[in-house]
Amino acid sequence: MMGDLKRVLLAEDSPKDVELTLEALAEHRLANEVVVARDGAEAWDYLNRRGKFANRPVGNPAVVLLDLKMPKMDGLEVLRAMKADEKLRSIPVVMLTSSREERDVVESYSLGVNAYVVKPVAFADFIDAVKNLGLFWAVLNQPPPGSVERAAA
Amino acid sequence: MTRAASEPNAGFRAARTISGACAVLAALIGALALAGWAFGLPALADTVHGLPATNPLTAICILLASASLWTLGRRTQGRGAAAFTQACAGLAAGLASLRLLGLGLDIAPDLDLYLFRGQLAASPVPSRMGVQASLALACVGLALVLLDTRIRRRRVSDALVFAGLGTSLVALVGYAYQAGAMHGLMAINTACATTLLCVGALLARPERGLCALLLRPSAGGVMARRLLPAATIVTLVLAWLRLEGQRAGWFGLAIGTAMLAIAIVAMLVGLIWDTGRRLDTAEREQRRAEDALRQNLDRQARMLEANFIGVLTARTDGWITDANPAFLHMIGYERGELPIRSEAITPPEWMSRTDTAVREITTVGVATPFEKEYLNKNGRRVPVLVGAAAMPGTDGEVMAFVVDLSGKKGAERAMERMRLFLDSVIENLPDMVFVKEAKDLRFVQFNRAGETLLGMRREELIGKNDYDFFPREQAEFFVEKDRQVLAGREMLDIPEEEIRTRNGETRVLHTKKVPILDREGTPQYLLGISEDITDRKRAERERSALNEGLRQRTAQLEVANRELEAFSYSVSHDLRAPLRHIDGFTDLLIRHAGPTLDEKGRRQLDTISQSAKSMGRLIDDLLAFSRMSRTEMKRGPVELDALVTDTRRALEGDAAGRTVRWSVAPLPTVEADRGMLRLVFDNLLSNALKYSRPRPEAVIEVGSQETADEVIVFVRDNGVGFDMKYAHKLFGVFQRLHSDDEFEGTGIGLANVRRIIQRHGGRAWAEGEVGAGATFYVALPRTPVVEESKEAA
Repeated sequence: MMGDLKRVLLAEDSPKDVELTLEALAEHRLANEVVVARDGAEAWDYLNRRGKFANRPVGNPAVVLLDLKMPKMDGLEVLRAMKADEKLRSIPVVMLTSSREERDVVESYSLGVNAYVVKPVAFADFIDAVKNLGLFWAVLNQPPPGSVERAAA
Repeated sequence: MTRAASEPNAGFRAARTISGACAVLAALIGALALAGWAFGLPALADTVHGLPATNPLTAICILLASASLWTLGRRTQGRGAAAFTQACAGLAAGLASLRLLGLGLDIAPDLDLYLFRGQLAASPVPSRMGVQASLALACVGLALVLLDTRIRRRRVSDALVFAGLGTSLVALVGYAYQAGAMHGLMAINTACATTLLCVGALLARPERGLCALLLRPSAGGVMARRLLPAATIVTLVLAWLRLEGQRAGWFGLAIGTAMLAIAIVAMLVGLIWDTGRRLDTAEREQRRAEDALRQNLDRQARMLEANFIGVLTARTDGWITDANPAFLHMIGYERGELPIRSEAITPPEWMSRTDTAVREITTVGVATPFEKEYLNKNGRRVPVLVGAAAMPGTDGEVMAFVVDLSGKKGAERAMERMRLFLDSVIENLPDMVFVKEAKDLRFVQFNRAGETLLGMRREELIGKNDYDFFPREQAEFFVEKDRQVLAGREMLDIPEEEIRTRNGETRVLHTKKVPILDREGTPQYLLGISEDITDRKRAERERSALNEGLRQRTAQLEVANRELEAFSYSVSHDLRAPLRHIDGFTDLLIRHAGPTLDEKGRRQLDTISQSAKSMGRLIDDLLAFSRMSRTEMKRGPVELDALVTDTRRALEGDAAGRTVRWSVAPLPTVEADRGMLRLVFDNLLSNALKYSRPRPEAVIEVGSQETADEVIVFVRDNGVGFDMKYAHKLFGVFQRLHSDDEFEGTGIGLANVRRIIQRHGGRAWAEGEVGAGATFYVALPRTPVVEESKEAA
């Protein structure tokens, strides 16, 4: 699974949030399309096929879901690096975070984020939010060329 | 002038000499006659034999009158001589009068026969003292007696002399024309003597009467001198010639008379023509001289009139008799009001000065020019300079020249006032002011503030320089700056300089030094103005220390604030995650194991989920409140009507299934942050809905009122209300008056309301009563205030 090419890259340091997120995505049978990075540095390695992802197949995810607060490299840093990279610039990025802080929102959008989603406390709301996200970005949205095509159902 | 003045005197002297000669001649005639009788030589008494001779008594009277006349010309000898003169003349007049009285009444004794009766009887020629001789001598004697008495009697003496002269001349003409009836008993020598006496009496006082007229250089005098001899002597001579010619048979009566008349007419015509011509010439010359004089006087007068110098004539007794317009103007009088007393126009304290001047004039003739004051009629004092002198040839008349000094004095006073004013300005300036002369930099002026500052008196400072007072180093600093100012001819500002005062204290001065240049641009003085800024500097230091403390505290506050922000950031991030996990996994558990759990187990899981959600809301609200305090305000016009309508619509879900009567009055537009105000009405309206839930019909009223400087909006409900005793807690963070079981809530909403309204510069408050509803008020200022500090959350 580690080496597979997946349509969704989820960068999230909290295993509980990873589980809840995957649970929510499972509702749309998208769970298997997700590759999880435990921090920003890992996500950056995946995107650049470095480190433990050096051998993964060529191709970009259809969407990157970034937590804001992560060890090593936080979400904003990853976002900034992607937007500065010719090859990665066109990948849609969604910030998935607990923070409602305005400055985070403002900075994210100024760096070129495609969506900013505050994780609700109530699980039902959370499931709705993640489901909608996955559906839109991974299924409905036409990803830029070079992205992983959706596998035939 | 001198010649003119001496001429009359010479004439007078000549007249007096002739008068004396007349007296001597008359006395000689009298004495000869008397001697003739005494020594039996009657020829001495009758000069022409066969005609009447001089009577001895007549001769005595002649001698007496002659003596009187002689002494008259030498009257300087005193009272005795005067008495002798009077006595002689009186005796002569008395004897003659007695004889006249005797002749007239024929009762008096024959006085003329008492002396030399025998000789008189034996004389071949009659010699009695006749009427004519008596009359002439009585007249002459009496005239001599009255000669020097008062003016009114002078006429009498003149008349008497002329009467005596007439009588004598009648006798003389009688002898000359051989008309015996005319001389009668009067001897020819007697007639001569009385004539001499009369002429002598006339000439004895040449300054008066006919003699004076004859001696006068005036036209009258000239005419009298020329006509008198013609009228008398020439006429008598011509008539005598005619008579003698006729007697000699050279011509008849008619021709003689005609020739006489022609001669008299020719003489008179010639005389009148010549005199008239001379008089005319003289008069024309005189008129010319007079004209010139008048012009001269006129010019002088005009000079006096026009001049600004006052001219006046006064008398030493204090009367001002005349004055020119300049002087009259000074004292405010009209010429018609003259004469006036000097006291009337002199202030009392100046009277003694005037008296001193009068004394000088009477003793020396001139008063030293002096200043005094006159009192103008309008009460104004006029300072003047006066010069005065006695007028020559007058009795105590003074001419004075007066210069009005009030213009000069006024200018002097104005200068003086200006000087005093400037001095007092400098003296009273609160800053130290000093002036140094440019050469040696010695102090020439120093004001009171400077004395106080340095603790030195100006008497110690003036005339000395900085080296005399200040430590060498300081003095050198000052002098260097002074030289710089004087050389550069520009003001120098020394923002701070230290100076040691007398008591050893160091003061800080802000000094400006200015060069004072003369007309050529050469520095003459150095003006310095020093403000004592010691206290200000001290205050500045204290203030900057204070500011430093404040700056440090602000920095600490900023650090604390940043920590607080980091904290709330963590809260928002880290506290919410566990809650989300609790809720999420509870939910997963229910899905996964729900069917295997009993009712109680499912309820407990549900409670866990509810608690997590509740805490999530709490955290969200708290973060919102914190954010509210920190976010920037975006002011703009906010239509409260629309805002309330929007809010109501958003809350419709909460009111579902309930009866709510809304009563919203028209609301104004205010200047505010729309998003924030939306939050305010969210809170107020949702509260109103929430707390009126127990009522079968909720009544919620929204209205406003406007005052001069505030817009007040209120939201009133008919809900459960509150106890006013806790009103102060309503707007506190996490402060609640109801339990969560009664009414859910976090206790943040009203805290947010108050915070927002405060940030708008307004007020928020509430009124209520338990069970009777509540009214919440927010008041916004009409003129939006600038936020005082958004940091003070």
